[in-house]
Amino acid sequence: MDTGAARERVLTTGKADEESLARRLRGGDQAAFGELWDRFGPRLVAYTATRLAGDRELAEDVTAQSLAAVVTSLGRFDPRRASLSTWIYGIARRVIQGELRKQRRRRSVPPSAEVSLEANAHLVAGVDLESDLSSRVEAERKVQMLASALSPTEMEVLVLHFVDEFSVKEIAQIVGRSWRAVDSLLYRAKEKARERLAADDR
Amino acid sequence: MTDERNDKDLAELLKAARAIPGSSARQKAVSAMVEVAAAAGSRRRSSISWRRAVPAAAFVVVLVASGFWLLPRRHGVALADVARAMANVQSAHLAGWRVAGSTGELAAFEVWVKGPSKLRWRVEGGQDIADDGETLVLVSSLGSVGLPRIAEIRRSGELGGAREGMTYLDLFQGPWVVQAALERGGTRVREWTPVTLTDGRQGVELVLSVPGCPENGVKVMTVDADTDLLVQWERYNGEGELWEKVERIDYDVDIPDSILAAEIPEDAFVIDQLAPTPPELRAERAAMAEQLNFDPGAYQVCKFGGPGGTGGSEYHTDLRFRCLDRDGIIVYYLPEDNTYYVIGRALAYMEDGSDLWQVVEDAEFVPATAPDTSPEIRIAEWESRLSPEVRAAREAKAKELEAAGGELIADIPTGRCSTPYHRGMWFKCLGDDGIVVYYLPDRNVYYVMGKALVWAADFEEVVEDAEVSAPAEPERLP
Repeated sequence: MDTGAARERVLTTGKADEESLARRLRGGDQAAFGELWDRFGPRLVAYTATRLAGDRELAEDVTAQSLAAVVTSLGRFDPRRASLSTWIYGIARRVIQGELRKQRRRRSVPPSAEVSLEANAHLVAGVDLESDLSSRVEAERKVQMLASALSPTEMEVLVLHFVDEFSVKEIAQIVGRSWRAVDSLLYRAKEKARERLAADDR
Repeated sequence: MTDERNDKDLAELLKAARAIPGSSARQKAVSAMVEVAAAAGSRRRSSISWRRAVPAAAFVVVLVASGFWLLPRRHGVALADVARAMANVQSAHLAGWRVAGSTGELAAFEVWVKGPSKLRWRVEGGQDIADDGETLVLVSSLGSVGLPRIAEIRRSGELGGAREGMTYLDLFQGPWVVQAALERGGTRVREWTPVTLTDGRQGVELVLSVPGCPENGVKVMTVDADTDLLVQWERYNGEGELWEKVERIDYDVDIPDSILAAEIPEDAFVIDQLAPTPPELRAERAAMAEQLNFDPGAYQVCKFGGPGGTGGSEYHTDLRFRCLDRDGIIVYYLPEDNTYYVIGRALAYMEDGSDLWQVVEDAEFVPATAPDTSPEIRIAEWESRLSPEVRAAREAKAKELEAAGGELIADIPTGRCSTPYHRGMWFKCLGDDGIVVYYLPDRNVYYVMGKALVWAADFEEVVEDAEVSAPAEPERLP
């Protein structure tokens, strides 16, 4: 699946499309469930993995729970108050926090977060496997280094902003804080990240 | 390197490292969705229809209409006559004292009321309320010289806790206990003594007792036998200690406008309730509240429906939040970050003598110290105090009340906070077991789980695991 294209579709999805999708989901349209995954699933797995110490398999399970929670909570979705994407991320965030509390996980790199050629072969078919994986492993090392230097909330805000491309206002809706607080948090997180990366490069 | 370049590099790095779902993830998620969709019924909450507010009958009307509460006219005085006499009063000046705060010091106070809508109520070293008939200004002090005073500007007549339709004359002419006695019954005249007033005229001293109201359990009122007007009254606490006395009342006196003019101290923090909150800010706050309410990592510390309340934090013992927002505040604690989040505007301050304070508005407040305890410990303490049977009974009662259309007003687990005003009513935890309060709009009654002091402008009662009728129609619509 081309996740980049899927993400692009999400970003260009209009409000009418969101409402239409919400209507179809409420009506139990099974094709809509697949569409919900295509639009949000891969992004949510990435976001969830960031909060769960990079554990991709666990992130997939938690994302499935989050999307199930979305389906059961659709009656409360009010398009006048939030976009479908920020609302879904808000739900995912609560499910993740429940998982974190339940498991009281220590921050570490679980085995499933390690990159192996075999496990990711389906994702990288047709590309230069060796160089791609090498750069991915290096990127993961740097991100883990950032994750240990930044607070979980700072890391979360960075990911929501740079990976999921949410605006400060949207992030504020997702994390339940004011946009001023998020703006300040994002600024702090970027400064810290730059300092750490610069130190790592030296 | 520019900031833009830095941002781009950071974005590329984070995107390159993001987790990518495996091939089975889609099927797993879709199956989960299909499963819950099939299982879920239509479990939409029924919406609560609020009754329209109806202006409450004023004290005098209730008093006169309640003919059953006539005292024998052995000494030429009946409460109904008192009510009739006082209904003709156009202005009054009261002077007395009350016990202030927990130190037991006495604070003198004076009250001037003129016509139905003008008031000055000044407590020495404490609150100062002025209503000139157009604007009400309420200046309060938090009791510490290092903390800012707070001045609230409200519409005329919006004195907290006063019921709609009740005028200042109603409020101050008739001691509130009389109305409570009339509306609830069970009140007794314990003693009835002829007395000689200071100017030599005859009066009658009435000692009333009101069951179930320890803070207002006994009242002593002195009535002028010639005019049927109140000339003094006293209020006692549950231990029988006198805590408020009106020593002198002058009726139909000339009150100059200068007395009724508001004075806002230069150093006061002003809350202008007449300036509306922008709708987008209200929506943003509502969205945040919803997020935090359902966030398992956030714990509600206190909640107030309007300015004036002060809530203590369970997690930092000396930390207090004073509501400075016309729309009220909700404060959450986020133990993961040892941070508080304030929805609305509040004054965060310490009661440890340090006089540290900060105004926080829709933002985080980071305390300077580590928490004294954790939410888990607090909840465990609460759960250990309440037996499983009591907790089960509360849960069952909550379900029953929700099924009957009840709305949860407050669920305060540990007893350090009181509820916000709700339609003119206020509930304060008594004891350590917390309270759960539901409102049943169809019957205009509250149900209180746990032990609470229930208070309104003209009503006080201690309630435990019981229903309590709202004394009147609501103060204002939610």
